[in-house]
Amino acid sequence: MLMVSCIKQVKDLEMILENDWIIQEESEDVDIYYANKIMNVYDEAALELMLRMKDENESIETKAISLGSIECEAVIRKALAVGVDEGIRIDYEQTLKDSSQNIATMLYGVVKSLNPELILCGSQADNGSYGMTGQLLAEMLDWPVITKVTDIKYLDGTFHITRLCNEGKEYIRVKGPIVITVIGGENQFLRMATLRSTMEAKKKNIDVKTEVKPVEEAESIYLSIEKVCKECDFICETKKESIKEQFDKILEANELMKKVIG
Amino acid sequence: MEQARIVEFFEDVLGKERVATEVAVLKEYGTDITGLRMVQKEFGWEPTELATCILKIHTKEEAVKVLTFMNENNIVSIPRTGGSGVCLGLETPTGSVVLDLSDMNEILEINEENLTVRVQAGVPLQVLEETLNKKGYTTGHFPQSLPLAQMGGLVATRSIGQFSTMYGGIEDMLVGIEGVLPTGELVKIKEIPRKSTGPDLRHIWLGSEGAFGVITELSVRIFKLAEERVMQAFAIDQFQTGLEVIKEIVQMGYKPAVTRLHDAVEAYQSYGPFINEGESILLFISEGPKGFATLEGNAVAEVVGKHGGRALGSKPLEVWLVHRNDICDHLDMYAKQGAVADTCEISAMWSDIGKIYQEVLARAKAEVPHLVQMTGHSSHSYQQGTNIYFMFGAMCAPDVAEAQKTYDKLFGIVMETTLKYNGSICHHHGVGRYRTKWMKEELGSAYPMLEKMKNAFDPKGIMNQGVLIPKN
Repeated sequence: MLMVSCIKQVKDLEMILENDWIIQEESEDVDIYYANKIMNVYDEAALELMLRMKDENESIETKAISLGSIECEAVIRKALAVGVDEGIRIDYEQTLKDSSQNIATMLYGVVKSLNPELILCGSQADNGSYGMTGQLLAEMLDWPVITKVTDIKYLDGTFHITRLCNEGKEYIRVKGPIVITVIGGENQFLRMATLRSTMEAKKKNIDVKTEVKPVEEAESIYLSIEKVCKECDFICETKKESIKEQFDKILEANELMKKVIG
Repeated sequence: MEQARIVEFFEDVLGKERVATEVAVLKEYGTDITGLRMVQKEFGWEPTELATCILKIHTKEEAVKVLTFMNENNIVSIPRTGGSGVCLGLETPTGSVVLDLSDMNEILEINEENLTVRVQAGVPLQVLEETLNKKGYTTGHFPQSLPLAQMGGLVATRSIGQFSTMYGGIEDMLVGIEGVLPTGELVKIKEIPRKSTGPDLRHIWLGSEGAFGVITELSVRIFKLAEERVMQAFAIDQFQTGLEVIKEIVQMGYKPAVTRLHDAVEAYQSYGPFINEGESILLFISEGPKGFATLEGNAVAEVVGKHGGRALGSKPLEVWLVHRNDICDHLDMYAKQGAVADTCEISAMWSDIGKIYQEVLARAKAEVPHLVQMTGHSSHSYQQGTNIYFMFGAMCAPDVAEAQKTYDKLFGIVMETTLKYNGSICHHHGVGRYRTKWMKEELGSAYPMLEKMKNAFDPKGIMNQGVLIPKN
């Protein structure tokens, strides 16, 4: 049985200094050039859950898939070093950080032919925090999706899933194929790779997929965006204003909201 | 003497509320923050040897009364302040009594004429530093234990801070000190800049680790806050070249407050976007009166440039200043992942330090089957040599004994290699109980001096039994 874990390389935002959380005029972005690239923490939790199931059941085959330029192979090799059987990279040079639909479309282009029983995604990425990729991917595959997963076990051909819900924890038993999006549980750190396994992972072949395209280049039947309401326009318009002026505007807006709500 | 009578005596002297006997509290005081214990706790370890009680000492007079009683009744005493030890020096043999001085936390006098500050032993370093900063001064002492450490413990462990190349270690800062000997005498060494009246008795307390008495009060130098700071980072092709750079800079007479060299693995992990694969990174902060830092910074840049270093600007230093003490959190996280991880700092002469570094890395790779990493950096340099701060981690079966075995193997490699090249097994963490097994080899023919000192000051052997000198 095959399980696939989707992993994303992101900047380590914990490294960013407090004073650097300022939008740069030229790039209209926060300058985080000096942050190391790491595996998205939710994806790490998902990957660890997959490996724990593999620890319990030797017949489980595992793959890790990531999307990006050759640089993102670092996270795939990390996955290989901690015990994933195979790595796949969807080759794509441009940034897709703001497009869950594009990412899901490209993942779908690859995973649909792999026939896995389980696809694990981190619930969201540190950089975009949209939390949509896993659910869009499930929609494209026409599979069920279970969100906010904190734990999963594979017993007697069934997935035993723990997820958070408004009332507390929910325990679900479900048969595959399914997609889960993982928020992780307490102390579910990704296991550490030994130096030897890291060296071995460097030599392993990564299956590079070049044929899949994002949604702009491949016709999408799943989602069409009618209108984009750019909240960032507000930021762009006010980026040259002082922090105090921006703060005053927010207060003004809040007051207005209070009046509207009554 | 019966435990109940012992506790009763302490309750009479201190009051019931300052004598803790609850098992949960005794367990909390049963160890320190050594990496070995962090991972063993994850595997179910908990202290089995517990103290009889914990005493909250508030005055030097109380310390005199308590120690006199303990000496008369052969009760082992464990002095303690911040509890940030990393060498098992605070573990509590069964029947011992902990003297916790952390409530003695008064800053007694800031003397702006002599540039000294007099404090009680339990003053937290961070509180002292913040207090001094408001008046335009600094301790110049910034160990990684800064958020936990207290002044008495810093002296007792011969601490050093990250800005040591300029400000020195705690031994360069200590001006006067007062403590209680196990036989009950309160002794004070007055504040004097230098003198020639026999051996410097302050050094009995420096690095004493509670083996000779209890420190109650001390005074240290303070420094005016720097007017100018120059921060520079450089990529360098080889770790050994980086060592050559530092040697040249300090032997020219410069003392950049922060002088650090991280090997390629550490450089990649912390400063990846700045460097090319395989490069090490040099970090310098020069500070002092206006003009001084610029002068020193220019000299540093010239020397690094001569050795082929590539300037990286000040950003890596900005990152370092914010994240420099993250290792404590990392060790906790590694432990939760089941990794045996810790740090181990040694020192040696310039002629030997590079050999130690290379051989430790080679041995760890060859001899530790589930090694995660063995890395190193130099962070405290002198005209004659430098330290290497090794950081290591390895996986093992989730078992207390296996963790001990793996830890002993990793630590042993560092200790053995250091001794092979005449280095010192401990640069600034102290000996504690863990490193005592290498102390005979460390001190060589001088070892009897330590034994005689211990016997002279603590004839009954009650003071933190098992540190510096092995129990058996």
